[in-house]
Amino acid sequence: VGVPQAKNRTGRPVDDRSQLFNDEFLKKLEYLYLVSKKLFAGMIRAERRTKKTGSGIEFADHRHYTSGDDFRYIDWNIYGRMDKLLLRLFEEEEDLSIYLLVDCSKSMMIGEPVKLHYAMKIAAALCYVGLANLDRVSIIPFSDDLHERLPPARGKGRIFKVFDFLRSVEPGGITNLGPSLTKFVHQTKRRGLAVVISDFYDPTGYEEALNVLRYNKYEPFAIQIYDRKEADPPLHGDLSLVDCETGDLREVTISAKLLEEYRKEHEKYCQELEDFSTSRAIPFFRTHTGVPFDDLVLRIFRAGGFLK
Amino acid sequence: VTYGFPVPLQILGYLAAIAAGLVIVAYILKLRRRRQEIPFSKLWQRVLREKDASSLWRRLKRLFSLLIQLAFLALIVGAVTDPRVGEAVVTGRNIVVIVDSSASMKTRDEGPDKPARIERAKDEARNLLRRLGGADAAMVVRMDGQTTAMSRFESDVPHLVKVVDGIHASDTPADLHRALRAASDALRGRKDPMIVIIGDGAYSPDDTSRVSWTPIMASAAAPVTAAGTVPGSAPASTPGSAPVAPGPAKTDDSLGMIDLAGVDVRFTPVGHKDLRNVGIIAFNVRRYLANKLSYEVLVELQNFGEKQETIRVTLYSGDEPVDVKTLTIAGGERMRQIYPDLGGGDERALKMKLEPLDATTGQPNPDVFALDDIAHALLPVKRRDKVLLVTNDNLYLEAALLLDSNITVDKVKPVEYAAELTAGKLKGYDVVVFDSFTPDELPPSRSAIYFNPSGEKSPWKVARQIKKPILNDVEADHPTTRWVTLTDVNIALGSSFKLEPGDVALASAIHDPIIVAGRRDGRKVVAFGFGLEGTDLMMRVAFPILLVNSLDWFAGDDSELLTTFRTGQMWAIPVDSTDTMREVTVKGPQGVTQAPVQTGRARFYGQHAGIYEITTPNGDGISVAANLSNPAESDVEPADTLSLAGKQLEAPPQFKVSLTRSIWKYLVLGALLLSAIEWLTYNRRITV
Repeated sequence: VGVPQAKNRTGRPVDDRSQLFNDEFLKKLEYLYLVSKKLFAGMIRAERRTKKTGSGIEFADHRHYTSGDDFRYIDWNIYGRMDKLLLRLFEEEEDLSIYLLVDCSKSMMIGEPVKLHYAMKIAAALCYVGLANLDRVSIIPFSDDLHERLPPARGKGRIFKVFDFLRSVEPGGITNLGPSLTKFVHQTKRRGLAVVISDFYDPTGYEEALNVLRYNKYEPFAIQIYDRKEADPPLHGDLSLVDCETGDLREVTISAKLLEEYRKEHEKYCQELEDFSTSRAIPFFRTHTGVPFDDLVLRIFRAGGFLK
Repeated sequence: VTYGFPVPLQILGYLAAIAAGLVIVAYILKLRRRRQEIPFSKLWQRVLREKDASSLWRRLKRLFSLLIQLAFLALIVGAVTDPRVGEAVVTGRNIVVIVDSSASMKTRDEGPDKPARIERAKDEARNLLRRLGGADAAMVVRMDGQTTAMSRFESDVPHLVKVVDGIHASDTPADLHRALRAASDALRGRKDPMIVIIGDGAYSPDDTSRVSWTPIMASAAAPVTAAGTVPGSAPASTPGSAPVAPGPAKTDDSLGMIDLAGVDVRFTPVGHKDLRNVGIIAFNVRRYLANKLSYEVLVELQNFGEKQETIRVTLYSGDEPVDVKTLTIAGGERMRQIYPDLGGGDERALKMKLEPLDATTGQPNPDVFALDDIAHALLPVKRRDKVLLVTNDNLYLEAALLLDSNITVDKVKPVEYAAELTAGKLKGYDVVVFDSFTPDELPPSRSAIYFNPSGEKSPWKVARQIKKPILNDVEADHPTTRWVTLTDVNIALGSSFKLEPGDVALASAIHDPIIVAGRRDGRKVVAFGFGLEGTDLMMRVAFPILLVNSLDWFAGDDSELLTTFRTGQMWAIPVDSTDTMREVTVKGPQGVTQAPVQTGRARFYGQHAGIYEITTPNGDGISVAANLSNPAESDVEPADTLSLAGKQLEAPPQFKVSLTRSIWKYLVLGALLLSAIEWLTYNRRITV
């Protein structure tokens, strides 16, 4: 089974990225950046605050004292009042690393517009805001393996390199989050924000991949992108359904009942992903390609966690 | 099962196999599915996991879809062959439906404005036909004075019903015997024969008795001894032998019998009881022999009801009433009225009209049967003949002719005859009498009498001369010699004529025709083989009668001629025909027809009452009147039951609806149903 070549109505291949990042797009990015500035006011070394506790000055939390801890951080006031030894934790401030993990498997080439393009726009927007905030932003395309990555960069002026990089990304391969992210974790020393932009259509499951990020002290973000026709496929009649990644063939006759069951199943799958993420404090955003990308980006900003 | 498809079934089988192959190919093609790319088959796997468990059922459902299509094809092919089931199992009956359409069926049982009895009979016939089974075949027969098969044996009920719709009652009496014979002949050799008679049961006892319920031919096949017993047949008293009812022997009696052995005969009565009807059962008129200007009328009436009726009887001459009488006639009474010494007027047509009256108010109160309330009659033609006598003053001859006041006589001498003829003065005579003179050619008159013709120009060749012939053989049936005695006539010398075809020897002396009659060039001619001077015939009473008879015959004024006939009979009406005349024109109440002429008589069947005018190609005409004049028909009281030869007939049975139906419609319906099921189940994704 060959790679599905999504085509528009005129028959022209839709993977035309020449107009993906035009001036209009750039203006929107600038607007998003201005909006993001209103949403947080930290202007210290870096403009981003991590959840990492360390030697900062801003109190973050308490925890029980264990032997070997630095006495200096024991909260004596608490000890005086409650007769318990608790350690004061402070947020550590540093320039943040943002890793934008973009799924460029074959399944991302489906949809109108193509899901990959949508994912790239989101990645570009987040990248721009990150660059503008002087964060170290890196883009890592992946499918069943990591593709060539955009090395970490900082500053708004790098955005055109980002565009060029995104334009040159070669889609292909099957979605396999687990090994890809594991490899990413192994290759990347510096922890930071790991934004996974994918459809999460991984036959082997997404749980392990997200857990790998969590376990390795990354702050994972999950952005699920789907096409509306995937949630509610306009299919009818006798069909041979071919998985565009694995080539699995399945003969099926579409009935209203079957479609309904499929819709429920899709919704259930997405809900499971959402439940998994939220239950593990992973910010999760689900969107379809019909939603303007800037709306989604604003939603991400407002939800917090990305900007501060 | 039989098939109505004209193409051999084998060829159809090949075609069906090809079509089935196409269906299967189309089915396989249908199974090749459209490819559709999906991003994540795992979701579909989850959905279809449950369905996979029932994959066997799914396969069966697909097979079911194919089977439905093949069944659809089989049904269509089956329908094309037009199969008819059941004929081998259920044998259909063969039914002759005899619908009585005689005059009595014109009775309006329920009132003068209500439908006639025939309509009720037609309703019964239609109901009967609609109850027929598919294998039954019926034939509709119309029974009046004649028997008319209105259809052949067929199962097309709508057509048969249409045939019944076209039946109308005639003015003729019912001839059940003839109808039964026709029905029995039609049913011969057919299975399950049945006759259903639908009528009022008013049939003559002669018709109902001449029926045999045992085979006639079987018993007649065995030789019959002089004693009337069949040789070898065991006597009825022999112990252990079953008595066999012998059918009528094939004698003269049996020839008139109808063999209804094995035929199921049923009867459906129609008509109401207790009806009142007074009818004219006889009506005739004759001129007096002595005075043909006067006539007398005979009318016979009968009250067929049980109550006394008051009636007004009006005699019309043409359209003018001549006599009106109001009479009272008791129930069942038959009354005869004679109107003597009527005369005057030139109208020949007479009409008798009978009107039942209300006894209290005197207003007309019509009875149920109108046909016998009017009767027609015609007076014989009254003629005044012009006669030319070619003679040398024969006083006897002149005197005899002068006896008849209806003729005028002129006289010319034989020597002047040729000159007068050449001068054209002899035109306009009806009859020319030649007294011992033979002209060179036949006279210009319509007819002629020759006394002692001789020579080459004689209309009859003289075979030989006979001295003192004795006329021992007189043709008493001929109008000329009727009521005439010639046996002791003395003749000195007689000529024996040579007869030609069509000639009649009126009087002969031991096979020697002496007085002859015949036609010559279309003219009626009578010739006497002797002269009046050598006989004492003119001294006798017979002589003037002979002459008057001859003149009457010439004029067609046959006093024996019946001008009043009864309907429902074959009429033989004498016409002034020639040898070459084959047919005449008959103008009757129902229109103009042609009737054949045989031996001087026009023969045709009188179906309707009224006046008939018969016109020959020569332009001669004769009129006759026709009336029902049948007491049996006028007695319109219906019979509840009908017995044939002592066997009372039962009502027709309820016919079973057999399976011998053409089932192609059902097959097509089944195919449509299957198609609908397939469509429905496909669209509902049940069979896919």
